[in-house]
Parts: sequence; C-alpha cells; structure tokens
Amino acid sequence: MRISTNTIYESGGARISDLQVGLNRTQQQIASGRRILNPSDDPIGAARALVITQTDAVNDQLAVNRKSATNTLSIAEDTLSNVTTVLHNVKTLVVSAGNGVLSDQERGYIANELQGSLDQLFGFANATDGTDGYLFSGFSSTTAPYTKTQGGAQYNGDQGGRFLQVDTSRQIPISEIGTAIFGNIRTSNGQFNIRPNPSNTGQLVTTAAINVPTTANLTGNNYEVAFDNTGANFTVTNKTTGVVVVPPTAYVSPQTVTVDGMDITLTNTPGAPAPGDKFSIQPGNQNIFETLTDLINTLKTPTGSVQKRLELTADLSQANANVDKSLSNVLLARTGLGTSLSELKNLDSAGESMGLIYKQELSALQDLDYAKAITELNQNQVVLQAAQQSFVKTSSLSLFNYIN
Amino acid sequence: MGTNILGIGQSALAAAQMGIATAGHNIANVNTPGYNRQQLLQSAAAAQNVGGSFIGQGTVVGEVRRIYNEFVGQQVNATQSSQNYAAAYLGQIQQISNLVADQSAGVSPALQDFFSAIQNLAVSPNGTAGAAARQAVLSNGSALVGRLQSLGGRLDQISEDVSNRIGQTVTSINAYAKQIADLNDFIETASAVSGGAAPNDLLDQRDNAVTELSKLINVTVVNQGGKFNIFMGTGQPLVLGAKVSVLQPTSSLTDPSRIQVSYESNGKLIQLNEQSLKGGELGGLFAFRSNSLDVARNSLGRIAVSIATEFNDQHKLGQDLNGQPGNDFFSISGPVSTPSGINLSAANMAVSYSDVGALTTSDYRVQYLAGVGPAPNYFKITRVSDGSVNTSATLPAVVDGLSFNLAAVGSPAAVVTPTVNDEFMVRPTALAASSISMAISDTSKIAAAVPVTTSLPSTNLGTGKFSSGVVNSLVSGTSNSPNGVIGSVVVGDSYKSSTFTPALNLTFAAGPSLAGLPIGALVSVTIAGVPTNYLVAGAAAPATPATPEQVVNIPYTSGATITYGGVSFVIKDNPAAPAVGNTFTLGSSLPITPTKLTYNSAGNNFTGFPANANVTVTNGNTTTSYVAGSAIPYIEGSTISFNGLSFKVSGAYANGDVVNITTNPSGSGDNRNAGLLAGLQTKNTMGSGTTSFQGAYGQFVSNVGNKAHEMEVSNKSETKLLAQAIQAQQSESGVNLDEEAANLLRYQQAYQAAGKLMQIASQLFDALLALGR
Repeated sequence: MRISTNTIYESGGARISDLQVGLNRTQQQIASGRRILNPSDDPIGAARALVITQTDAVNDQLAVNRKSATNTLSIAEDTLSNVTTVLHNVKTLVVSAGNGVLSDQERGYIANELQGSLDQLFGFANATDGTDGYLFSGFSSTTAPYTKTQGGAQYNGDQGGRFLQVDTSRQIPISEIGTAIFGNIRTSNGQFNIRPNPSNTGQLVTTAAINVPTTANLTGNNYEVAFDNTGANFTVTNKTTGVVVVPPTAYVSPQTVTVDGMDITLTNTPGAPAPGDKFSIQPGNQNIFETLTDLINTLKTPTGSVQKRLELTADLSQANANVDKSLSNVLLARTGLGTSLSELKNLDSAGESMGLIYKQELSALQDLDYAKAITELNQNQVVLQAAQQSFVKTSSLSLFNYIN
Repeated sequence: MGTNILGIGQSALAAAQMGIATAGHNIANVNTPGYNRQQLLQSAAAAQNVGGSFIGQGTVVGEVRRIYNEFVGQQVNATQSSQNYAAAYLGQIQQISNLVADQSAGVSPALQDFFSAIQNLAVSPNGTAGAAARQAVLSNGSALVGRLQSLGGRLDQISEDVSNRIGQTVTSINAYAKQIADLNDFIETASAVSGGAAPNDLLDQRDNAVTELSKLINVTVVNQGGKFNIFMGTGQPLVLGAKVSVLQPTSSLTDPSRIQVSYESNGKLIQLNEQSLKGGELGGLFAFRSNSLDVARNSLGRIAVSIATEFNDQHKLGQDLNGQPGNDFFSISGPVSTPSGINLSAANMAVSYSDVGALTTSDYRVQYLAGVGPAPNYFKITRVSDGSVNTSATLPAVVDGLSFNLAAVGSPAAVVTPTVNDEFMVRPTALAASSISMAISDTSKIAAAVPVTTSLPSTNLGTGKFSSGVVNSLVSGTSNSPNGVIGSVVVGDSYKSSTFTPALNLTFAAGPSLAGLPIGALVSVTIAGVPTNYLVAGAAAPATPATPEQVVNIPYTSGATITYGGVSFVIKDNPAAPAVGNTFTLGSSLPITPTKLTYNSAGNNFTGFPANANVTVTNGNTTTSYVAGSAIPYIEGSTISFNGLSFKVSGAYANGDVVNITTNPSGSGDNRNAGLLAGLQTKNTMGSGTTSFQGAYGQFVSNVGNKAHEMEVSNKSETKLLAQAIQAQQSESGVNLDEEAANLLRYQQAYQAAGKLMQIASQLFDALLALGR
C-alpha cells in the first residue's frame, strides 16, 4: 500500500489531538471531582441526579421543618409542664383552704397566693415561641391569646390549627389552641351550671338556656338569682361585675327573664321559693382564669355565718373539680405534644438515613472514581508522549536527507 | 545512422526533462488541497524496419495523467457531508448541553431554593422570622425567574446564531456553485484547445470545489459529457453546466425571525422544505434547529408556564398579610400565533392555556381547509413534533391543554373567518421562559394564609371538630332550584377574575335549555367526551363557516360539562329536572359569606348553609350533592364542600352545637396556603400528571444530553469514516515525497544517460569525419 506524505502528517496529528482531548477530559474530571461533566456524558445519569438532588433537598428541608417543629413543640411542652406544676400547687391550696379552722384572714393569705398562681398561669398562657409568635393563639400568632378581664381572662386568638410538613406525607400540628388547654372546663353537662345555694329551703328550680336571637350578648360572667326576704320578689345580679341586671321583680311561677343572652326560667317544683333562696348561674364552660378568679373572690369573702360557710364549702368543691378538669386538659395537650415530639424524633432518624441513601446514590451517579481516573490520566499521558515522540521520528524520515 | 542515434537521445532527453518537471510539479503541490498526483506516461516510438530488423526510434511522451479514482472521490464527498452534518449539529447542541450542565447555574438549584424558601415561610409566616422568610421567598422567586429568563435568552441567542450561520452557509454554497459552473466552462474550452488532453489541474480544482460544497450540503453529481451537473435536496438543480440556481436566505412565512432557504425559479422565490435539505453543515443546522433547539426552548417554556400558572392558581386561593386575596405571583406571556405571510385573510388565532398540565413541547400548525363535498370547511390542527392531527369544523377546539380560537383583529376588533388554505403557526411556550417575571414585590402580598376559618363557640356541648377549611375554587356555583344541582366549578388556567363579577345567572328555560349567557359567548357542551360548540346570539342561526351554531339559549343535558369563560361545571337533575325559571349562579367564591351552621341531633344533620348553596358531601370515594336548602347529613370524617370551600368534620356533636364559618381577619400566623404552595414542588403537575417541575426539567436535560451524546458518537464515527475515505483517496492520489525523490533521481539519471548517448553519437560522427583526413 502507498501512503501519501499528507496522510503521515494528518493521521499523526489527528491521533495526538484525540489523545489530548482525552487527557484534558480526565484532567477536568479530576479537577471537578465529577464523573459527569456534561449531560451528554451520561444523559440518564444526569437526569436521575437532578431528580435525586431535589428529593435530597426536600429531605433536607423537611429536616429543617422538623427542627423548627421540635423547637416549638418543646417550648410548648416546657410551658405546659410549668402549668401542670402551678395547677398542682393550686389544688393543694384549694384543699388546704377547705380546712374549717382557718380564719378569714388566713384564707385571705391563701387567696393572695392563688393570685400569684393566676398571674403565673396568665404568663404561661401568653408564652411565645422565641420568634415573637404566641404559642397558644391559633392562626393569630401575633395576638396575645389572653387578656385580663374582671372575671378572669378572655381568649383573643382563633381556633386555627397550624400544621407543618415534617415528612413527605405527614403534617404535624405545631400548636394547640389556648381554649383547649386553659379553657374547656365543663362545669356542667348543660350550657349553664346552676347551683342552688346550699342553705336554700324552698322548692323552686331554676333553669337557664341560651337565648338564640341574642347569643351575641353572652358575657361568660357569673350571675346570681336571689329572692328577697319575703320570697315574692327576685333580683338577678351579675356577680362578676356586681351590677344588678334584673331589678327586684315580682315572682310568678313559671317565670322567664332574658338577660345577657340567657333565658333564666324559674319554676315551682312543686313548691315555691323560700325567702332568701339563692341560685348561682355560671357558664357551663369556663377557663382556668375564671375558675381561679372565682376561687379568689370566694376566699376573700368573710364567712361570718353558717350559710356562708356552706357556700364556701360548695364553692371550694366546685373549684377543686374545675382545677381537676383543667389539669386533665393540660395533660391531654401534653400527651399530644409528647406524641408529636417522639414522632418527630423517629421521623428525624428515618429522614437522616434516607438522606444518607440519597447522598450515596447521588455520589454513585456523579462522583468520580479517583483511583480509576488517575490511572487513566497516567496511561493517557504515557500514550501521548509515545505518540509525540514516534511522530517526530517518523515524520523526519525523508529521502531528500540523503540527496546532496 | 548517427542522426538516428541523436534522435533517440533527444527524445530520451526530452522525456526525462518532462519527467523531472512532473515530479517537480508533484513536489510543489504536495500541500495543495485537492491536488492529485500526476504521472508521466511514455511509450517506445514505433520502430523502423532496417533490412529486416526493427530498430528502435526512441521514446514518445504520451500524456501527463492525474491519478484520480472517481468512486473513491464520491465516497469522500458523501462522508464529508455526513461528518459535517454531525459536527455542525454537535457544535450547536453542545452549547445547550454546557448551559444546562452547570449544577450551580441551572434552573434546578434555583427551583429548590425557591421552594425551600416557601417551606420556611410555612414555618414562620409572620413576626420577625416571618419578615425574613417572606423576603427570602421574593428573593428566591426573583432568582428562579432570572435563571429561566437567562436560559431562555441564551436559547434565543443560539437561535439567532443559527440563523446567521444558515445565511453564511448559503452564501458559501452559492460561491462554490458559481466556481463549479465557471470551471465547467473553462474545462470545456481547455479540452477543446488542447485537442482532448485533460486539463488536470482544472479538474482537480473542480473536484475540490465539489468536496467543499459537500461539506456544506449533500449534493448529487451527474457527469454529463465532461460537465458536472449538481443537484441537491429532492432534486433541485444547483448547477447545470455553466448555469447556477442562486439560493437565498429568506424569513419563514410564519416566523420572520426564522431563516429558511429559497431558490429563484422563473423570477419567483420558492421556499425549500428544510427537511429536504439533508446532510452537510446546512442540514446539520436545520436539523439542530427543528429537532433540538425548538424542543429545548419549548421544554424550558413549558416548565416556566407550569411553575407560573400552578403557583399563581394556588396563590390566588390564599390570603395575604393585609387580609386581601392573593394575586398573581409570577407573570408570564401566553401562546403566540403567527399567520402565514401568504394568507389571504387577516384572520389570526387566539390561543390560551386551558390546562397547563397537559401541555406538550411541540408547536402546532393550524390550517383552514376546504371540506370534501358537502362537508363543511374545517380547521386542521397538526402537532408539529409527531404530525398527529385534530380536526374541528368550529372553534374553540381544545388540543393538548390549549384552547384554539379565532382572534378579534382590526379596528374595531372583530373576529375574521380565515380564507380556505390559510395557515397559522401556534407556538404555545416558545416565549414563556424569556418572558417570566415576578408580579409582586411587596412581602406582605405573599398569600400564606387561607381566607376562611372556622370556630366553635365554647357554649357547644359536643366535642365535634370542624377543620379550618380550604378554598378549592375561585368560582362558586349556586342554585335556587329545588331539583337541579350545579357541581363544583373547575377553574381553568385561562379564567379571568372579571368574568363572573358581577355574578352570572343562568336561568333554566323550556327546551330544556339555559338562558342568561351574554351574546357573543362561546360555549362548549361536552356530553360523554364529545364537545359541541355554541355561539350565543340574539337569534338562532345555523353554523356558518368557522362559526359554531348560533343559539339564544344553550341546550341543557343533565350531567353535561359546560365550558365557558375558562371555567367548566356540570348541572344535573337531582333527581328530577330543574323547573323553568330556576337559576344557577356562577360567582366569585371570595370574599366568603360568613355562615353559621347548627347541628340537629334529631336528623343527625347540619342546617344553616347559605340560601342557594349546593352542598356536596364526600365520604371516601362517594360524593353526594344536595339541592339548595337541604339539611346536610353529618357523617364522621366526611368532607363538606360548598361555594368553593371545603371542610372536614369529625367528633361527636350535641344538639344545637354551632359552627361559625368566617373570613380570616387576623390569621397572620396562618400557614395553610404556604404549605399548599410548598406542596407544588413535588406534586405531579406536568405531562398530564406524570411528573413534577423538577422531573420535567430532568427530562429536558436528559433529552439534550441524549441528543448531544448521540451526535458525539455519530460525529466520532463519521470522522473515522472520513479519515478512512481520505486515506484511501490519498493512498491512490496523494503525493509521497520519497517517491518523488526517487522519481527525480530516476529522471536525472535518464537525462544524464541520454546526454551520454548523444555524446557517443557525436563521437561516432567525429570518427567518420576523421576517416577522410
């Protein structure tokens, strides 16, 4: 076979250029640590790497979400654990206040101590999550959930439940609304808790119901229906504010008065009320602040008579029951938080191991096998040197060198 | 005798001289492109019969022949075409490949950062941490938009570059064609003058011009009596003898920025089908543009459209920090339609997205064609990528998530019916990537909340729970019919909030039909998957060309899907047909109507829904609709939906328990919509619900990568083949300097020997003369 001089130069040059391209590629791979420099190197691998990168990024983001959920839940848990302590303390105080040998003054001390507990609870209820967001006000996290009122405190938040995505298919609640923790003390099975005064001697029965058209007027305050010393007239007093809402009115059985969104019905069952009979009307659903305020007011009331003592005992037992219910609400909320926290812990370790798997998969797809690449680099280098040297040798051969 | 020897010597001397000249010519042209080595052919001169013996008369120089193998030459030309095709394609697609390869600069990291920012917003939607989170959402949104824009812009640049290169290539093709035609002429003249001897170097030049031309485009050469006729594509003549058909780069009829190739024939420019121009650099550029660049641009555009539309749709269902409903978060341009430059009418298409989830990466060709026989004229919508065809006698027609309609053109704007054979090019997503931008810049306008919330008063005796609710649809369907119900309204991607402000009342009329749609409204009624178009008009009239049947009232079929104004809904009998005069109302869901529901233990149901609300209850996979005013049964765990809102109910309710559904006035800590927005990242919103944004981007990258890989491989193998073909050609026709050195020595010695011969002849003659002294 013949070979033309051009072929010698061209094929030699082309081969050297090919080798240089290969060498450069390996060098770039080593410099970047990446096996896939360009999607065309491994189109399927490149696309898979993109998808796994996203899955991994989502996994990382979920870990961030879990961290912040854990933070919020832990703060809430801590707060509620303090609330539990305070409530236990309150319960002890209630029991000790029932001791018959205590003087009015001594009960006043207990009332003062309870006032301290009330303030503490109030502080806990308005706790924040560390970034200025209130823990227990639902969606309205910039609004303090409770503000003090004469009768206790009122809830200003809403009932929105905030959830956070903590796993690809799991949303976890990161807040409990204040009303579920500090409110929701059912004092009765009905809408109102009506207690005849323990010293009542008449047979009248009082019932109360919501007056639907004037629902908006409901105050949540405590009321008292009291008969005068003839038993023929009655008044209704808002005990919380001390305002007489129904002035002395002649009583005819059965009789219904509508006041502040309530229908109060008085009926002879079968007998009439006795002079001086009283009925207290409380909302069927209270919050702990109302309970404590009532309790403090009760303890501050002097117990001069037997009647008053009986009232005190009844009120204390009501308060005791209320605090128990509140404790059980708090414990229920803590159980929820605790479950969420332990679930987060489990999800965390699951997420971490998933992250590891994604990173391994990504590394297998993209990362360079250095040992292999460096071996290849050396090999390419040797071949290129050989090609260069041999090219110079062969191309310098010419017959013209020998013609003079 | 002596003269004879001198004659022989002289012929040898001349032959050796020519031999040296030929070898010298070969040496001189060793680096000349297209040069084929030449060889001196000599033969013995006819011998003279002298007394019975033939005495040689010396040598005769036959010709100087070039060593050229036509077959091998053609092989080189064909390989040049395919190698240059692959190289041109590869050179261009590598630009895109490099563009998407960079992990830190691609769309993918920007997309991830954006959704991370949304997740962080869900974690802290307000307060100091919230302010930072909101700012991060806007910044990362801008970054994402910037990435898409810059990638889109880069693709536009590549497209411009391709157009320029096509123009340059066409200029070069014309130059080589002219050269070949000229050489055809010269060669004919030269051969005639020399009496048939081949003008070797001119032939070399012409063969070389054909090779250079083959690099640009695949051509066929027909040798007709020594002249080359050159044909390209599907047989268009480029060179016929000394005549050249000049090619011209011209703008595409349906896209002025797209350069195509035309040739002049009888004074008219005829556009060549770019698919017929195969091979060579020009073929490579055309193939790259239609197979890769268009697809890349559309793929990227489709991702941009999907992100913008899906995100906007969800964002508009939310509520911002000021208590206002969310607005568009991104803004983006829609599909473009270009009428062909040779259309006879002024008509144009108005195309909108009806469902971005169903978009493809193809462009569409819409033709208005004459019906055969009595059949009406029709629109033929061809998906360019695979040629799949949809036809429809009237518009709107919905194909692949696009709603095709006729545009109002001119002033005053009016719909113009196209003339038969008019053509339009519709590019659904071509401009999207470079046009996407942020629509909001105020952090408080990010709608992280949901504009509805619920509360249960503390006077409730039961433990029932009612979820805070979500907004499903921006449009609510209500009805006062005691029988018929209107189902939930599906809001399409082309819905404008002004369509149902004020609310649209459809009145049930005899027929049965529905009255109340505005005159000029285009309505589609789909029964069992078959759509029928109607145009609402003042009086009924049959369908005219390109315009659907004109009706005063839309015919009513129970359960048919009615599509109008970008929304679709179903009105059905429940259980009997609605009565004449009943109304069905479409209105905006927001702001919501505050509602107070009351639970009744006697019927285990809720009452108190808004007067005309058609409530649906979904329990598992069962959905039941209730006519307006019904008491809605309480099923634990079910979802209650009405007026575009839905709620989950659970727990034990007591008689008289109340649920208040209200606007969400102070829900600054509400992260429900942020959570739903974040969920879009992994939701399969694209490719008809088969893939996510990132998945679609991955497909795009893998598409580009695969094509680039394919071209790398084919370029490599074509380069090998070309090298082999050239080597084969060179081994026959190429100059070898060593060989020429040997030839020089050979002819030098022959020359010296011939000189010696003449010296001997002269000495012989001298000896004869000396005899006479």
